[in-house]
Amino acid sequence: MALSSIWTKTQIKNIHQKSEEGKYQLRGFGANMPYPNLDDLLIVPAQLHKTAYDKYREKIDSKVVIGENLKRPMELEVPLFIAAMSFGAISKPGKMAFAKGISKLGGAHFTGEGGYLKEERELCDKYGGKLVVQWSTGRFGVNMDYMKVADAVEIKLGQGAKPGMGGHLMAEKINEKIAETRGIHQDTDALSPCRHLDMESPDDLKKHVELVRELTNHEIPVIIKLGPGDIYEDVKLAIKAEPDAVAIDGGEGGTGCAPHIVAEHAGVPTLGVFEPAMRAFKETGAKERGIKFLVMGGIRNGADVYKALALDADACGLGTAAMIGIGCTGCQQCHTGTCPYGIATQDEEKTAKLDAEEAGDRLANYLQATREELITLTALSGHNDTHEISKNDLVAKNINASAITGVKLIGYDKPVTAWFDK
Amino acid sequence: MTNNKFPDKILKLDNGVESIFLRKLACSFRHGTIPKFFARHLSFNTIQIYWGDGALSKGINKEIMEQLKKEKKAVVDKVDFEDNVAVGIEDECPIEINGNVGDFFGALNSGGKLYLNGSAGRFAGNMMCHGEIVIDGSVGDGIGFGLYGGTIVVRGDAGNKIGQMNKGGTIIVHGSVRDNVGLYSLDGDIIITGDAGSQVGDWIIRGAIYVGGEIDKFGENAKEYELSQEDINKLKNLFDKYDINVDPSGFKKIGPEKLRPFYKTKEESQGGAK
Repeated sequence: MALSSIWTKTQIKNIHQKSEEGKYQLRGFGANMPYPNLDDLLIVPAQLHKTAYDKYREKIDSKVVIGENLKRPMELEVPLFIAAMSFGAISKPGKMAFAKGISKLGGAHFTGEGGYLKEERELCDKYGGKLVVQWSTGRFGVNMDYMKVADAVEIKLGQGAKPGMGGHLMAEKINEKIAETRGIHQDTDALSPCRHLDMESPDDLKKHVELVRELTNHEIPVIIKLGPGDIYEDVKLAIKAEPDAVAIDGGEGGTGCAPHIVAEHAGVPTLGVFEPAMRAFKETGAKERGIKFLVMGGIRNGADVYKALALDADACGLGTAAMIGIGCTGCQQCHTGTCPYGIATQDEEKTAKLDAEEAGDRLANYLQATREELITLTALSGHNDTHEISKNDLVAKNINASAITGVKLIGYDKPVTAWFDK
Repeated sequence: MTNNKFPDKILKLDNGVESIFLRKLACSFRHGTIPKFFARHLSFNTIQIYWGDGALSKGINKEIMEQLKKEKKAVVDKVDFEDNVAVGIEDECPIEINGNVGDFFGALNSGGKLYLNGSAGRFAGNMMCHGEIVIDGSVGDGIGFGLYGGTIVVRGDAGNKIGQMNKGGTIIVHGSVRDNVGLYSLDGDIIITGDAGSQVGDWIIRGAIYVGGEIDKFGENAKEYELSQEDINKLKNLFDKYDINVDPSGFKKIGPEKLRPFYKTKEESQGGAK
């Protein structure tokens, strides 16, 4: 067989499948194709110009606070959270493991769409974590109980894996518990529309923020989550709605089920969200007003977190990495509901294999190691506070990454964007 | 009801906007939709007029909670198009609001018995779980979005998108409604004594829509079913309870054609585009 750069085995198989079935391919996870990513950036260690800190004996601060001026701001001991994954897409033991794992580090656990489990709140309380509930397009499980258990509310407009699309949780995955939590019938598909049907214009987003604040006595933070669309314009509009944080889920962000063609070809890689988002933040004075910037989508390790914080993020969400931390091996068959590890399934036989307590401990191990990586890199780059790291602590390996992020290109002391400045 | 020749228009008249004609016209009507006759004169399909910015409730909810605590009921006068009035009420007590309110009146109501003597803006009763909302006036778009339970009664006309994503509540509009009634409805009943616009029951999955007047057009996956005696009795009981003097026996009933309209089976997908 002749080799071709575009008629790959995968592409040929995809065409055969569509010819057979008349349907496009669905799968789990986010983008697979090579994107410019955070690996294209490197960290500048301290030598003389900067002084390194000794991470073994000098304290390195990594705390972040969202909603500082509120009665109940959300204080995270680490700039990490478990990104939203719904109960329905994820099994009950999976959700419990996420809650336990991140809470042991003092981070935040996002419920995703689909309501919350009381076990999630209990585990967050027990281990010192925060619970962030989601206000999404399907509004499943949203009621006053839901609002009252929250430490913050995330108004979701989109996600990285399928920006501009809603979601379908197929009836096959809706068991009795999910139906009860979501407030729907068991034999119905749970449809989340592609947009909030009770938002008729971007101005209505502010009305939703105000409604959420009124429902929560103006005490807790409100976060607006966007998919990777027209970042600059979208972030400007999100900031106009006056949330406490704006979150963007980059193109590498995962899902339990999305069309393969959308996961691959729609959206902007995470590396590409920082510059336009920060331009919007600067023009609106958002940072000065205390609005935080959260990023998720393909965050894997402490280096990714460092680089994201250096590019002006305040905290990072981990979704796919958290799933892998509790046992996922990345087969991307989440949409079939047959996850052999009991994570992305509701099959009782399979979910019984996932021990929530043990999985939570494993996740905590991974997150602790990730935090240690972040602390190590922060210290060696000459900082004792993760808030202090900046673009000046990075270099770009190639022209693309330098142009995308505005980070200096290795071998030069300027970003390539300076070539175009007049 | 909808004439595609003219655009829809929503006008917000703040204090800074000079429009003496529209102000005088608006004073003649309750907040909400100006009747077709006048709208067409101005070359619009309808004009919804909102006074002010629909600001936050500014302490109205605090006042309500204080009254509920002391007297197990609340009466609030002189509301002026504020948004988010009486949201998230969990006390199963009567609350009377006199005046016109803005958007999201009674959102996430979880037991309150809300009586509004006036008109409401958009999305009244948004995600109500249980309890009752009775509005003696007209309402804007989107009443009862995502309703989980309870009953909403509107004694007046309503706008577009009534009962979208209804998950099990009851909405009664003793008047006419515009387009997209019951979009993505998952359960519950929507009852319109007057006319309904286009796309009625669009992508309805479960539940029923009853219309006493004319229907412009059915939506996708919506079909008409024969009204059963059980349906008639259900409607009669509701009408009696809310003093609606209408005979339900001639109503049209709209329900879902398929439970899972979004997914084609393998056999349906194969064989090329249709």
